[in-house]
Amino acid sequence: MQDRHPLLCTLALCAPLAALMAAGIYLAGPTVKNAIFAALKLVVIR
Amino acid sequence: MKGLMRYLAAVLAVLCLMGAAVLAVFCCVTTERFALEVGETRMLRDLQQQRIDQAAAEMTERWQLSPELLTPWTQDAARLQSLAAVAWWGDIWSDAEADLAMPSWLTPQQEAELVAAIRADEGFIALTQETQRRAIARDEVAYAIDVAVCEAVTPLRRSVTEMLLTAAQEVVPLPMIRQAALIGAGVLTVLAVLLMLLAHRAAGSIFMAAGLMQAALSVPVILLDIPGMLAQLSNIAVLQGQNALACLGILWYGAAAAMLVLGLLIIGVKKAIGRDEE
Repeated sequence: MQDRHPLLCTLALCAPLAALMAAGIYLAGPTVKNAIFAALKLVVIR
Repeated sequence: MKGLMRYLAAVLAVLCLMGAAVLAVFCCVTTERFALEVGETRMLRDLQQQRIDQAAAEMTERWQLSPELLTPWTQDAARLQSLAAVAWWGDIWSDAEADLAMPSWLTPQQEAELVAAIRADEGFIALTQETQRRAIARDEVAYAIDVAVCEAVTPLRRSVTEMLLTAAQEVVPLPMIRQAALIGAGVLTVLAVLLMLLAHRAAGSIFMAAGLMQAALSVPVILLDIPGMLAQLSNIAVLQGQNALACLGILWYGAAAAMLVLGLLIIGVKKAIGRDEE
């Protein structure tokens, strides 16, 4: 497939990872953001 | 079925390449060079020195010290302490015996000299009582200058940083973590190449996908807006955060671009060879 449609092949490889990433951002994004901010507040001096 | 196995092997190869890139970037973060990049800008240095000078001016006014008394202990402090912090960062990741405590600005001897100078100052003598002078000079001025310089250069809570590093060191020595990351990056790259063989004639697309996904991985990092978070906490930390992200961005996008180009080259060369054969 790569030899005939290299771009299609590349996109087919990216699709599951991109979907996983989008789901991760949607589901865990706010939680991760809050956790990182809490950790920064603990370590960084105001 | 065979096609699905090849596809899964190709996806795994992309993941391995991305994992190798993450580990390689971690290795770069633990170098002295990276720490130097984080603290290198003129604007940051000026802001740090300004913060130190301000703390010294407040102390001078509060304890009625001679205007130039603290100058020798705060002059160029931001630059020198920054170099000490950079060397410390390099040391803890390369030497298992290195001191995990962040470097302090004044040595015990310098602190003693400063305390003596403050106790001999006329304005200070006029303001304070004999019995309190030593304690005030040591705790309220000399120690406070040390803390002000350290906090201006590395705005991190020293106790927490030391505790975290010690906890990590107790599990696995820090230099070993670094070496493990380096070896891990190598192993993942080899694994990716083996998976490419399994994926059969898809190496070009695998490299291109890895480059694209690596670039895409920066989206969540951008969405996290770490400089924005730091801006709420410390204006020195936000500059350092921006420097760190800029330095990491160059490495990250550079590697992504290299993989894209490599993928395109492989596809191009294969096509050229294919045409020759026809």
